[in-house]
Amino acid sequence: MREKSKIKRGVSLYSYQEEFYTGKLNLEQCIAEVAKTGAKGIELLPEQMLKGFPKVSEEFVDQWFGWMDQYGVEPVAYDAFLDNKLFPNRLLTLEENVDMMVRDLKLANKLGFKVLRTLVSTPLEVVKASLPYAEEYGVKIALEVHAPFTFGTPWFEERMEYIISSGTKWFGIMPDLGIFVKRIPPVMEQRHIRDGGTPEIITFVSENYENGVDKDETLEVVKKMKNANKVDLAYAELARHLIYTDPKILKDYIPYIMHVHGKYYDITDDYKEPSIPYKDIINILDEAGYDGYIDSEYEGNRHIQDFMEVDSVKQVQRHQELLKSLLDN
Amino acid sequence: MFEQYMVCEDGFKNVEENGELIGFEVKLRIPYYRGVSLSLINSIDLEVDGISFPQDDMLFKVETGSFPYNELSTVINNRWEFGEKATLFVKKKGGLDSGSHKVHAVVNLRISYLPWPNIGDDTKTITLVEN
Repeated sequence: MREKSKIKRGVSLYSYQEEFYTGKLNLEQCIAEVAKTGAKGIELLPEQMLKGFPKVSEEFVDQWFGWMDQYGVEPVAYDAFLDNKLFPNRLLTLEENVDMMVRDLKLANKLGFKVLRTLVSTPLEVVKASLPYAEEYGVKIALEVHAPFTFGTPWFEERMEYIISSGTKWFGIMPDLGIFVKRIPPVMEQRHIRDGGTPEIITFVSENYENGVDKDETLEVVKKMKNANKVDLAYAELARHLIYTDPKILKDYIPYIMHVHGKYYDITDDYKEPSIPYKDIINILDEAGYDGYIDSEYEGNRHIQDFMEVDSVKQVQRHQELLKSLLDN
Repeated sequence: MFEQYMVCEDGFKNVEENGELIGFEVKLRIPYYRGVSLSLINSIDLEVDGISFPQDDMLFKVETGSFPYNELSTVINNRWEFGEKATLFVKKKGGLDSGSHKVHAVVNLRISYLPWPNIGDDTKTITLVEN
């Protein structure tokens, strides 16, 4: 029998955004829902769910750790945004950017998070200048590897080269499983058909995507179709922003992976993610010895909210069941 | 992505001052997946029954403060929280006629990590709360 996996399961509270926004779940209730799935890790977008961000009171901090104890979970990842366009007339200076990063590192530390997610758009210079603070606050900065950017792009290579050559322990990567989209999620297809897309053209785009046909070429073909409407074009354009990377590439980067975003768009009644090859990905991570967290990151709400009530709680439970079955823990 | 929830059905009402109707208020939720500093609002456009209102006549209120539209770009320390029903006050002598109105709002947000703005567009027919 296979050894028990060392990979840990968590949930990004981002998954519950629909219910939080509409007031059906508050922060504590989101945490309680995570605990019910058996997941142990909590990931938070403070700018989404912390009222009064970036200020938090001492009472709140006590409350936060109280919830962690009460529900038997732990803080894992803090998703930061770095609003370098804070002012309409100019970008923040390097120093201002670093100040904002330090603000987030401090808050992450205060709430017990060990990893801070930074975005694709964060300038490398800002990360470099922030690393002494990451060390001071004991919070690693992890670069989200997110579609349409992925491994092997010049953007990625420049950052990876810095990570390796500097030998830093405080900067690494956080793959988002959205870079492994093997077929366009059915929830996206169906939405475009509901919005007036031509079913044959939508299918044409989906099949081309799945068969690895160049996405720019597909868009050009659709543009030339006489019966293609705006929605069809938008769908072909959307396909350009999705990406499939061979999950085997993860093996080469295990020492630098600080966290994984378990992105998914829909878990069907039979516990499958139709667009992302979860089994392949988890097997590769597991066999290569990844021992960090994979956090559920449900991103399907926006594709179904026009016609049905979103049930993020059910979607997270199903995703956790899927992970559990692949991890044996 | 939450634009369908942007124009709120509740809190749509005329505003009275010293016995006179000076304008009306409509509540808006953010068309985005986090809260943002008010300086990240590029623009808010409002039409009621097809008539648009000048932004100079608007005041945007969140729980932590109330700001004239033209000052929003400078407000970095007050946020429109995720899911918060902010109030847009529009100066209009005599307020709006009672009954229901077609309210169309467009909120344009500057998102630092995207090369394009995030634009929420929502139209709802909502009924004025009687004072």
